Amino acid sequence: MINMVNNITGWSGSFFLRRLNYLIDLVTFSSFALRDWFKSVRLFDRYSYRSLVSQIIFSGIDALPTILFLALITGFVFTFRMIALFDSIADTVTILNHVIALELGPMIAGIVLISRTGSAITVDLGNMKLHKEIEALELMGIDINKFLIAPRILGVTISQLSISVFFTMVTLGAGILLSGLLLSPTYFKYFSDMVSGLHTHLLFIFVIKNLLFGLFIGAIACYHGLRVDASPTEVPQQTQKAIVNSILMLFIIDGIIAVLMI
Amino acid sequence: MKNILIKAENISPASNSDAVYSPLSLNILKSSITSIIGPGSVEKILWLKTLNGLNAMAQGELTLLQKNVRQLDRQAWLGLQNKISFIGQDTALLSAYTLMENIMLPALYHKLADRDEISRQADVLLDEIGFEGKEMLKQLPAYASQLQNYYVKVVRALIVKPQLLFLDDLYTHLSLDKVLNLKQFLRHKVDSMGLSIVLTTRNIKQIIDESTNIIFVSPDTTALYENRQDLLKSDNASIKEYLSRYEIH
Repeated sequence: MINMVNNITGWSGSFFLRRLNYLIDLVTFSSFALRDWFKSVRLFDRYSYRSLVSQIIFSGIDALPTILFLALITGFVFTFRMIALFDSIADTVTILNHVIALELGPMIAGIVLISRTGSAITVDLGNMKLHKEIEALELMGIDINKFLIAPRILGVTISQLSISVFFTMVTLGAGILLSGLLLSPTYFKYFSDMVSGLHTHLLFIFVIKNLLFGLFIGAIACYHGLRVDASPTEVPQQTQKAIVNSILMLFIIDGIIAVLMI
Repeated sequence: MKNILIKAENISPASNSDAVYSPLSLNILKSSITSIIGPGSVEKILWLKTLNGLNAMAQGELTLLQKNVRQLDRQAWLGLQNKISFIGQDTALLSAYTLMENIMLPALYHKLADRDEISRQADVLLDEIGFEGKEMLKQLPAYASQLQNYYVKVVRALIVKPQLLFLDDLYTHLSLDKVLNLKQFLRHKVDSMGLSIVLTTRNIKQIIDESTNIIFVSPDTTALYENRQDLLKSDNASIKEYLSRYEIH
């Protein structure tokens, strides 16, 4: 009996410590990468700037068709149905702001980023590490934190915020438009009501949440990419870990922010 | 003092195995060629990387370009690397960059000149080394031949105008005419740029007469010679056996 209790507490303790170590490693890793970037005399030198812009194009702009499609579907499924279901305009606006803008928008943008960009970054960096390209960069005196890591983390962060804004606007706009066209033209009034219902503190939470999501997605992807060592089999293993850990991290951050908002 | 690029005092490489190497002291001067020879490639690469500061030392002091490597932090170490180039057996080109971008990257990153000037310098170096098929420079390394990639690595190493160039068995996979061509190219850089080369080689006949320092390394011997004659005079049995294997008398 004592052994069983010991096993359970031992396992849970070890699991907790592993997770805590992982979090400390991750925060240290991303802090060092960003510190090296911000310590530069010129933040946007030619190569860091090129990496950052490429990352934003790949993560943000190239993802727009997928995000547009998902936003239109979500607009129809959620926004349109909520407007149709609830009578009170004030309640509907509050629910839409909290559910679509604060929850669904950042979460779907985050999941799209994890599956498209996070996995791509891990595979890219993993292969670079495997083929000794990272070592070659360091032997040329190139700081990989400034050249590879910080632009990717910042690129993903900016993209997360941008596509989340885009997703939220399309989802809400499409739902209201559909309600106005299919149910009653009075529902077009929701356009102005939604804008006036968007308080500063909600906007602040929206921005903070998206910045945190982006930072962690980028950092986790880079961290696992650089953990690839010598074997090609480590690339898919680390990619899978990066995806799972990123999704878990989104829910944890979301939960913490939800608790803080109460 | 400024002519001494590497000052090694009683250094020996740290190794994962139980091997303990005899210590070595030497000065490597500007415009010199130092060859590391010996029967085993493990010892040669270990010593090459130790002299470059890439491999930890078991003992001794190493000064690279007037800087003690034990006292360098990460940023200082990275700063030193644009004056030192290293081409190992597995040194990679960046797979996502074209051959030309690979060549220009270190010089652009360190802001050694503007883009046009670096491109012009790269062109000169490519002509000097005898790079054939310049249309391939716009392609990724995966589409170029092994020889083209090889030449790009050498040109990329030289585009930053390093003071020291470390080469691991550079001539091994090349045909004789390419070896002679590359040897002549590097000799010219030593004479014209004041470059110092430290290299490991199996092709010792090609390099032994050119060398200003010859370091013989084996699991039980570490010895320094100033030229071929000194090496041939050695009484060490393993050196004699090694030289006879290559028919060097």
